[in-house]
Amino acid sequence: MFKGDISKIKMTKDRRKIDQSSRVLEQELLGLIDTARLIHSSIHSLDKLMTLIVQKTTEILNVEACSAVMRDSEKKRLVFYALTGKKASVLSTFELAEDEGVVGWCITKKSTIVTNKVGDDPQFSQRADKMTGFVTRSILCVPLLVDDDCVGALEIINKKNKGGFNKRDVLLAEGIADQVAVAIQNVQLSQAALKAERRAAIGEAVSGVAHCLKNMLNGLQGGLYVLKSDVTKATGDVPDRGFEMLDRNMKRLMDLAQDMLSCSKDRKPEYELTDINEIPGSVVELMQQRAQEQGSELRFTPDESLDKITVDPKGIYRCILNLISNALDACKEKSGAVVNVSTGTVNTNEVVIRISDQGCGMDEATLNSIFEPFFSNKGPDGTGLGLSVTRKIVEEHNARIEVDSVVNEGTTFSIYLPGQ
Amino acid sequence: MSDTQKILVVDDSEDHIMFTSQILEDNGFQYTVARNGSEALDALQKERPVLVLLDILMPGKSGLNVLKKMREDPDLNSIPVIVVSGSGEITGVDMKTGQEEASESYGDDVARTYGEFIHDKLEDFKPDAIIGKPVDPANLVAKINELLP
Repeated sequence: MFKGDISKIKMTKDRRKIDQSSRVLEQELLGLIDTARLIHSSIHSLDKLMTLIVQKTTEILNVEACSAVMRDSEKKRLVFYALTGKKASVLSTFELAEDEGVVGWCITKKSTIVTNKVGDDPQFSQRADKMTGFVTRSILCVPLLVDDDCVGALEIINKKNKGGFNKRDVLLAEGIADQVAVAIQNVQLSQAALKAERRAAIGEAVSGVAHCLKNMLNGLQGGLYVLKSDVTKATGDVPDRGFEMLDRNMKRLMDLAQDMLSCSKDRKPEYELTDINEIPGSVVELMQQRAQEQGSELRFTPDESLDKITVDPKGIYRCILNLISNALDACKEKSGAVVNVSTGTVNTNEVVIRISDQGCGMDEATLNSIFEPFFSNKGPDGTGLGLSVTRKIVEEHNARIEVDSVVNEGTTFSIYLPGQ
Repeated sequence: MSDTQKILVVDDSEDHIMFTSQILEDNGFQYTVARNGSEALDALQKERPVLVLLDILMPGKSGLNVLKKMREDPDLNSIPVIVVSGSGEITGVDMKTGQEEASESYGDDVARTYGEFIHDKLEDFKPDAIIGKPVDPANLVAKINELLP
């Protein structure tokens, strides 16, 4: 063979190499553009978006499997959100501890991790492989960072070519992860905005209805008075039973209207320096008869050393009234159950008002919904606004409300008010 | 209270007039009725009532106008006034109606919402008592007895 021929062959080989390399680059670029398109098209469904992103990543990076691993900060677990690969269905219920495995390390450290020989990596957790029978050789993990908070990671498994993951793979994966993080943030923001909008709309509608309701109730109350007066004059006798029923139900309607008004924005708090013990004290006094009638015990233990603090006394009164009323309702079926009301200080500067009952308690699903407007477990007796109003008033005070509950054992509500 | 001494009831709601009239009758009070601010000002001159039960939100001249005129007039200044009004007007909550009337009567002196405006004006004009609707008859009678000369 001549020298010239050899150089020709070499040139052709080089060109082929360059062509192949630019084809790969083109594929990767197109893939990246595709993910960007995906992210901007399906903003309202995170589930769908994640599934598509994970599929696309598997394709672009030429790997065997990929998953979005999200951090569940409440449960302190890592959950496999969307998966590709042969063992995807087996892993969909799989969970890791917050710092478990290479992905846990990536999320905790908020940094990209590449392992081309998992056997040598002490961080590698074999639990998933053992469960599925899958063999993991190489892992590329990139964190999903939203405002410096790591919400999860993209875990990319087993590069199909022999060399494992290289620098370009890392760059590509990070590029995708950045976009995914923006998408997550957008979804979170739009959900929050939607929720706020919904709340405002409900507030406006509720307040409008409540104003009308109150006006009509004024008329009903007047009519009832005039009727009662006329009947008394005509017969010399007041037919109490019917009037009592009307009175009682009008009072319930009035309570509902009041709750609706307090719940919507139409209420202006009036702050004044207040002896906080007086508020639960007077509510306990008011509710004592009701407690006795249903066979419950209502106790009040004030902390006499409390200083006066600035609150809207009418608002706080409404909160305590709602909470004690709920506590008594929860104790209805348990003869001799006790409702303890107390005041005190915590964290040196916070004033706490606690309402603790030995009633029926609430399960997790109920606890998750109790502060939502129009949620009620009391049938016709509840307006579904009491706790919603309570939370609104508490928030107006820059205070917080906490609840602990055990089914069949009881519930404790605590309002923490900022001190002076 | 003699037969000629009357309480002036100022309200545009027939329902409320009927309700208040019944309370007054049942408790032996004489009364006369005005259905808007202008009628109220006429009645104040002609009837010389001993006490006024005054609603605030009324078409035409509002209760605030009546109260303002009474406070400015030395002959009417000493007549006790009980404002009987919806809670929104009294607590100064956000109310969208009435803004126009307020700016017409009080120029630039109009607060952010009409509810707040009334709330502030009530503090300026100092009625002798304020009772929120729905009216508790016993409370109303107690206030009247307390304020009657």
